[in-house]
Amino acid sequence: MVLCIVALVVFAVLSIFSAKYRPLAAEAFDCVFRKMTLRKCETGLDQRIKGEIIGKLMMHNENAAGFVFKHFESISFAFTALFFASLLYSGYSVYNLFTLGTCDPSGGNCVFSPLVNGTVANQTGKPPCGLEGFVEFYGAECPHCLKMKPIVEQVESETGVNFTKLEVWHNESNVAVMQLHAADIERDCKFLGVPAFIGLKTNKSVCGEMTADKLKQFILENG
Amino acid sequence: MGIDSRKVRMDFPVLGKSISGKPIVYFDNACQSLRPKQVVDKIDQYYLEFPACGGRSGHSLGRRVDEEVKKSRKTLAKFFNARENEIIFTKNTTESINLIAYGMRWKAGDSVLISDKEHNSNLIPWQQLKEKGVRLLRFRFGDIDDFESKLDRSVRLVSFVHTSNLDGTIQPAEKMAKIAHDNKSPVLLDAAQSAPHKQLDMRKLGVDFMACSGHKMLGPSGTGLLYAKAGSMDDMRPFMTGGETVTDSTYDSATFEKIPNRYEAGLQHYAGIIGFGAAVEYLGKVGMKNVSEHEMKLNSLITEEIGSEVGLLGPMDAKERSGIFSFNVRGMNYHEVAVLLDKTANVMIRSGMHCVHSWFHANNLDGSARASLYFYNTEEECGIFVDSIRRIAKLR
Repeated sequence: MVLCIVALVVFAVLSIFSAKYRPLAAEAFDCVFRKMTLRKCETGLDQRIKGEIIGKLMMHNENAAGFVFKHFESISFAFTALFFASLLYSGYSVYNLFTLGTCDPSGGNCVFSPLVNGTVANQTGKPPCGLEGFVEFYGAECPHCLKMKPIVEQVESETGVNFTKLEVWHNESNVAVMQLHAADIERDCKFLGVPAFIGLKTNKSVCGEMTADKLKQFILENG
Repeated sequence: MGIDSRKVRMDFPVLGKSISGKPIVYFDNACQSLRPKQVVDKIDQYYLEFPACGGRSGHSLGRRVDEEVKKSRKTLAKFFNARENEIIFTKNTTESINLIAYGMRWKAGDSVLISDKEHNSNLIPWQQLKEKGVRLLRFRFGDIDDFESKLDRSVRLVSFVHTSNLDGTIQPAEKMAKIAHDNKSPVLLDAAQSAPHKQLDMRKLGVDFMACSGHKMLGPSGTGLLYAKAGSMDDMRPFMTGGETVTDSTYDSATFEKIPNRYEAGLQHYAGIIGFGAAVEYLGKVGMKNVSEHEMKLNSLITEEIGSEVGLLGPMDAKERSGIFSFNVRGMNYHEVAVLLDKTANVMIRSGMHCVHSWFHANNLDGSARASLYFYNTEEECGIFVDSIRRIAKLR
């Protein structure tokens, strides 16, 4: 039964890409359906899969093949449990990604960048995954940003602090990140524009053209 | 004179091939045999030299087809000690049996007597007659007393398997035919598993009908025949009608052909028929006595080695099981055994109920693994089979 469930999922996925797996998927479905309705699986699919696996193992190590043969049901059950657990976690992560902007709201383990559009607020108060330190939001053609460019480079070389630079006039993903910090920027700058500098440790921000000394002071207070 | 395996195997190109560096051990001959070059060449010859219609076109290619089909029919008739007009070409044993089941003019109250170990092909066609009021009677396979006791006046036909495809056991067809005839019941012999492995003489056996398949006896896939004793099908209704079955027709009626053409409707599988003839010609040269003896020797060898280590279906004496070794390995499923043999040693066998579901259900068994031998198999191959079974059994 467990083997048929795994076979059904695996062959169903493979069937999307190749027609040759479709009869096997249908066979696995029939097998699962029959077992769920307390009837016998008559195709022998599970035994054939077991034979295939043990046969391949036997070619390499007969003792290992013997062990797997004897404990095949338990091993299948463990893999099935793992499969469903990972399926649940994946579903939970996707849910978080779409509602909170990060697949792992409790830590920095998210492998995805937030993909939400600007409507999502930063409900957790945590930085989006992968970002830390200081961020500069800028626009590619923004004249104020261009004026700030040499000043930012000077400050970076003098303090050793580097800004993560996110372009927001053309890059939707970066807009989404900026939206997560929109409330913080508006609070400190009274508007939401570029260039905007934010310290992710304190969520404090500073905006517009400024001197190198003022930017250094900002780093000092929010580092 | 025995069989020179090395020489014979040269005629079967597939036996020279290997998978993953290991030779192929083909032990699924009860399902379908391999084909020698001579048969394949004959099929090729039809398609390359005279790929035309038979029985209707008067041009030279058409005439050549007629000649070759006639030659093939003659070869098969000689092989089974029958007359040419007693050989009807079909596509397999199943069709041959259906030809009788649908051809006989049944009436309510008639009975058909079969054994309890029949292939679905010799069970389902008779079950279908229930709606015509025909009863299906059953006797214990090989039990002559039971067979005799089930015969009564209502039995319009006795139809039984000669050699069981399940375990290779054999029924005394000649004796049973005599008993049935004493009861005035004609006999249909399912010889799918005996015709490829032993000499069958229709005159000696005395049966009225005999069905077998070409693909189990070196012939092309989709070929078979029905032997019908002269006169036995005169009153039957053709199962299929149409082209080639009539000599003339009007809008309202038709004049039917003589037998066998009457029962060979439409364009035939000419390449197959010609190949079938070449197959029995080949078997004739090998000698059916040699075939039987060789298979029995190999089956004895396997049985002596592992007969007591596995759950054997049928008698322990290999001589009573033709070339079939049907078994179960305790603690293992038969499908697993078959797949493991294939995966680890390229030993190809069949597993399941072998289309004899009724017998397995009646005996509360799930199925079995079945190795079936033929004259081109060797002692070395049997050795590989035996060693592989032992290796697999150790997994438990």
